[in-house]
Amino acid sequence: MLGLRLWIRRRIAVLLFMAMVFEVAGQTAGKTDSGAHPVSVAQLIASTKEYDGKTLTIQGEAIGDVMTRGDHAWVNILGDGVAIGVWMTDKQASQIHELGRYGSTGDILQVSGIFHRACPDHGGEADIHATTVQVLHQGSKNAIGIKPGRLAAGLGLCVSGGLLALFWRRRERKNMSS
Amino acid sequence: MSKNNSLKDMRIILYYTGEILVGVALLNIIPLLTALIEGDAASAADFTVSLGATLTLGAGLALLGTGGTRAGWKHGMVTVAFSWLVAMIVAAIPHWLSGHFGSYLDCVFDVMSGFTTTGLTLVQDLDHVSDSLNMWRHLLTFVGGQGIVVLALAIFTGEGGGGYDFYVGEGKDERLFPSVLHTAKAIWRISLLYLVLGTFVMWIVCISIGLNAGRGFLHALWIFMSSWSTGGFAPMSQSILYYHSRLFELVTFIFFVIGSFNFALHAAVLKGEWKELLRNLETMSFGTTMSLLSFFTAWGLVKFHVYPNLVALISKGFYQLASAHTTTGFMTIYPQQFVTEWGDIAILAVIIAMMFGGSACSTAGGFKGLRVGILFKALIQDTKRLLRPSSSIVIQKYHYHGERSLGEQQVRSAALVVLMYMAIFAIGALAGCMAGYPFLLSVFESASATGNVGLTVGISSPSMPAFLKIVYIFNMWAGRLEFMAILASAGFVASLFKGDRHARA
Repeated sequence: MLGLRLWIRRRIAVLLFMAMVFEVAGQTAGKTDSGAHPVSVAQLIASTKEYDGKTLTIQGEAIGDVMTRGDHAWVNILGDGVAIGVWMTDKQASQIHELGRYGSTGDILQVSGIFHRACPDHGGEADIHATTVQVLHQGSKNAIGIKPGRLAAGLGLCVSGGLLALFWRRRERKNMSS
Repeated sequence: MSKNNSLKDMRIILYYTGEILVGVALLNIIPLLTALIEGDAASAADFTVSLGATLTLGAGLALLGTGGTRAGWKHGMVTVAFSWLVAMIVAAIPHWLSGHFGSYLDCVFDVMSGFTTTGLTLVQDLDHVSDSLNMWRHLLTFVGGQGIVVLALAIFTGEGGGGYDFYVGEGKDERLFPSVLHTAKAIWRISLLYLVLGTFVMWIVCISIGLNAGRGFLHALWIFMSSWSTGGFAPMSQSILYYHSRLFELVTFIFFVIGSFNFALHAAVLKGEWKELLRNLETMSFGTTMSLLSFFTAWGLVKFHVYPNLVALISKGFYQLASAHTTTGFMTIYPQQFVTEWGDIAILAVIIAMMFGGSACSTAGGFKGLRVGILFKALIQDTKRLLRPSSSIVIQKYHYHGERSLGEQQVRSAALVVLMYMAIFAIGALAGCMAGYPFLLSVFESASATGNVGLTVGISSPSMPAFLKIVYIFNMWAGRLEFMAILASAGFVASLFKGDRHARA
């Protein structure tokens, strides 16, 4: 009888321990090192009211320009086809080496910070004030090669167009003189 | 109409369409040079194809057609409507070759949006588009704003080619000079003067907000072209939001408001007639409707606590309203924010602003301030008539480059154009609802396409149904040409069939 009670208590203790582990795991699941909720940029912009004032994490490609303003900078992050402005310190911005443009893929950043639906400091913009910025993948230059067939077709069309234009203008001059 | 006459008309139309296409072909040289300067051989090849194809088609049509004949009203109207459609198809070649569009329909949508200074776009991954394609897109919107047909004809034909008919066909009817050629040249002189000054100012602003000199120059040029033409294209997917700067917003606001004014008003101001600014019916109409709609927008936004302070209310609410009223289409908020945050009152105010539009004989779209002003004056006149004895004669005066009396014909013309705008706007809204979008959003997007605005609530995207893309293309085209050229073309096509039937009979 005593053995049975002990067995039951042990099982209960194990179950309680497992429940605690699952609870903790459940709470931390989907959180990043900084403890912020990860969210896609598209989801964020689609539900601005829901995320307003919350600390969260986004991932995306740094695009365009690092626009320095005093000791801070604006960097636009593109994720799921939607870009958002991130307000970060100069030091955080200095980690970025490659920006996404034509012919280059920008660094993939993970940014944690506070999202503002209508930032009172920045004219009501939807933005993120970064607390941490981490480069997950370095960007790269992408060589965009010329297609020789396309160039040949273009030159051929230019020659034919030029000849036709020449005939046309000659005809016009002839008509005018007659 | 006899078969011979039809053929003669067709050949005149083909000739002038060919001339216009040669003009469009020559425009390719600017993005081609951009690509060559940047060492972007792939894009240079794309623009070589576009230049060659457009030149071949243009010169070919001109050779098939008959030149040296004075074009009449009918030829002018049909040529304008037809050449805008053909130019739309050929100018989309670089778009298609860039690989940034899902279909050729998306490409022609983008081109028509550019030519009509609308600003709606179906481009994919705009943030990685080449500088040369961006140059092309913004160039199309700049040239479209001033009038592609008038430019081409001014270059090739000179005086005496029935230019006024082409000029009116493109939705402009203000003669700054007795000669239409001088008028067209004056419009281009004014625009190029502002282009140089405006680009320089924008460049300084771009550098001051953190862009480097090279990219800053290109962004300054494109954003100025877009502002002045009340176009709405921007080189980055976030539109003006990309720059995160109130100064940038202020400068673009000044340029697109100036761009939405009548060219005749610009000419008057450049001649030192500053008083015209305050007395002109159009500026008064714009000032009144802008003030009233600002009040309603602010009411709506304050009611729903959308913005935390006055700066935000101006930067987002007022800027978006002005962008709508001038039919520019620059955005400082995300399309989704209109839907999820703004509320019905503010959205309705923006829709009304998009319908009213800017000034006649400007780069702006919509009903135009002049027509709104004329209809309002007519309302006052009719109210006075009701209140006074039936024997009394009521003369309604208004100021528009001099004192004028309101005539029945002016009221009739204004009312007809407004009625037709409303009709195609309703078709666009209905098409949106048929495609499954909510009523208010369909109305918003249709007002934006018809008024050549470019603001979006997210309907205009590569994934929208093809039939809706076609409806919006038609609305942009009809809204820009103000119906006259399109009605004349429909009449011409009908007369061809009629003539054919008569000939067979």
